[in-house]
Amino acid sequence: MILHTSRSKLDSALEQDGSTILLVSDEDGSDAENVHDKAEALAKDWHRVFLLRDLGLLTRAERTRWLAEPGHYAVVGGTDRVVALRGPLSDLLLSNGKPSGIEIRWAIAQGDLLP
Amino acid sequence: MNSTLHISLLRDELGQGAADLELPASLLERAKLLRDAASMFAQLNELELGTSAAWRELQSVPEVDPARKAKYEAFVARKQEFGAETSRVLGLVRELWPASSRTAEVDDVIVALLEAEEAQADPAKYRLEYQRFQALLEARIEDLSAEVASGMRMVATTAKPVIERRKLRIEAFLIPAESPIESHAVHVEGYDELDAKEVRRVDAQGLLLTESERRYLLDLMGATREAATALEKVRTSETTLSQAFSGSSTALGKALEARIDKIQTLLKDLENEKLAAMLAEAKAAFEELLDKAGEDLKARLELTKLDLDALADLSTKAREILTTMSALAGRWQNPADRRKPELVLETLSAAASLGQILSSKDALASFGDWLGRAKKVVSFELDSATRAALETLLVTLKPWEEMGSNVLAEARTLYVLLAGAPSPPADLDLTSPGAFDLPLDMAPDATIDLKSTTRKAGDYLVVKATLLDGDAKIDECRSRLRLEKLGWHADLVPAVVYIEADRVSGADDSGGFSASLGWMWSYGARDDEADPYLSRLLGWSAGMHAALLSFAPDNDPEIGLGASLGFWDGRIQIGAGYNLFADDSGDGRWYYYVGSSLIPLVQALSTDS
Repeated sequence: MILHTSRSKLDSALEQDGSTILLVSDEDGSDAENVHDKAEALAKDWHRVFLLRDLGLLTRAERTRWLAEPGHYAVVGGTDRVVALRGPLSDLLLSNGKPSGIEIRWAIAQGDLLP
Repeated sequence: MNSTLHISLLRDELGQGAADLELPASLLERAKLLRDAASMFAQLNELELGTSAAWRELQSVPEVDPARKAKYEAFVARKQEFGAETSRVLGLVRELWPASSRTAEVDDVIVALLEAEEAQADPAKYRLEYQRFQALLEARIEDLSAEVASGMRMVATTAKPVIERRKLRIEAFLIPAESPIESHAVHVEGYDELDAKEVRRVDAQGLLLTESERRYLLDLMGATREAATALEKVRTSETTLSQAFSGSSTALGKALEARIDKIQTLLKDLENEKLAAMLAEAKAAFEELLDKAGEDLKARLELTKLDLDALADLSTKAREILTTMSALAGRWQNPADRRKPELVLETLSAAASLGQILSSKDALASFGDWLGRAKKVVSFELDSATRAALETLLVTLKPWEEMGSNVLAEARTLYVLLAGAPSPPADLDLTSPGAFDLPLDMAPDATIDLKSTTRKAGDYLVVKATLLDGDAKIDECRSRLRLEKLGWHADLVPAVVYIEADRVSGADDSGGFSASLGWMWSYGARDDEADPYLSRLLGWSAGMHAALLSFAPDNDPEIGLGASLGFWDGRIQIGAGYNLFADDSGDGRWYYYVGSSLIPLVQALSTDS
């Protein structure tokens, strides 16, 4: 799901008990979009993937706790909606610049581990 | 406050067993495990199907249905199991094929094996993918075998002796916030022979005190009573502020006495006329230098940037700070003003203006940079007239540097007292007397149980890890943690208060300074929490207090009980209560007060010292 100006879909996902959410912040190149597309293809029923075109869609607290910079990702999950893992998008790429299914699946699994 | 800290060793980083050497061997083991991956992937696929089914069941139950909770818990359990197994399998895969060197083919083949739905839909394709995976795995094992062989050779020759010499020491120290000199070592399990001492939780209700908390409270209560007595003497014109604190018996009183003396000396030194004379002298010296210096020197010294506006700016800032201090000191000395309880609040509001000055660009720092550059230039080849002019200017600027430094130091102390949290104490050169140096292969992960040492909120825990080659230090890292009470908790908080009786027959002025002890509840938010209950914004607390009363005209000692509200960590307290000793309403039965806790003052003075 790509979020441009509204965060209503993100709010719905956050309210959905048990879901694990992968947030990807946009950047100048195509890495964010590639990671987003690959993650959506691999997502299980309870996984939600969002590409944020504008970080201003997040509240200040969410930016502090989850995702503050362009070109980064964060896996949010558990009852308390905390970050299980976050980092630059390069962590989810292979050396040829393509998104890695293994790294994406592993990252989301860290969110699934949260109680 | 009641936490246990676990320190995990990153053995590969420490060089234990040689990361580069043992890793391939370990990977080889794991690769052999992955040979039986068929069952591993099949199990993961089954877990995924089960978790998906649990998710669908959860979605089919309305939110209000009482059965939802059980369904939710069942789903979370399955999801966690799936997450753990995915982590395990992919953990092995990631170690065998790190992302930095993994090919897209490996990535695609393994991801295909992980997809349960595809495996079910096309078993023949799945078998084919699995055969490709096995081929990739065999190739990787062959590569790793070669790496292992060469690694082992290297172990035998070079790395092993180096690694065997390496030792690790882990020490921990508790640094009391108000008295860093009383720092002491804390037991680190497995790394020293210190006594673990009695395990004692810090009471969330603030009533069962640890030894450290009890001593601190008694000291603070003594200082609070002393400060209240001194302020009352000043208020009733019996003495001056500095005289009131002379001969103090508590550490705080002595520190205050020194501080008041210092501020008064500073005020005397920095009268406006004196500042004006200093400025005129500096201006003359500066113009003399401009006259003598060539263009090259002017550029090197950035003289155009220094022009005397910078100096005037410094003096303006210094005067602003001094004016604030002077106005406050003057009003505390004035009998008419100091009878007004609002002076306490006005004193606190001065923090804002001081904060602005201190948080603005530090004029002193840029001025200091300039002086540093100028001092270096003096050693260059200059003609004698220019050198003399520059040296004269440096001499005339010296008092400005000292003045700026002194004024800002005083202002910072005052600011910390009124508005800000103190900066942590500088790390001392600490060593733990009972610490061992452990060879890396014997060094366990470490544990520090905070409950086993005397401590209180605001203290610091410093953990120091030292890596040694024989007896020589190779590396050291330190972590400093501030101990805080989190969540809902209560503290016993002494405060200096200005108490006024609601009505006292036969007395115009029934108010006066006194000491109170509050049992104050507040909420400590974690760093990763938002600001629940406005706890960070207002730093509020609420609770009950006992206050010492002594209303005119009889001035009999009495005790009152009542309710209090505190803001900004007790820097402002307001309260009202009932005098237990009053005979009737005209005997000061009801009273109210405004005051301040001395804790920030203690921290400000100890930080400065």
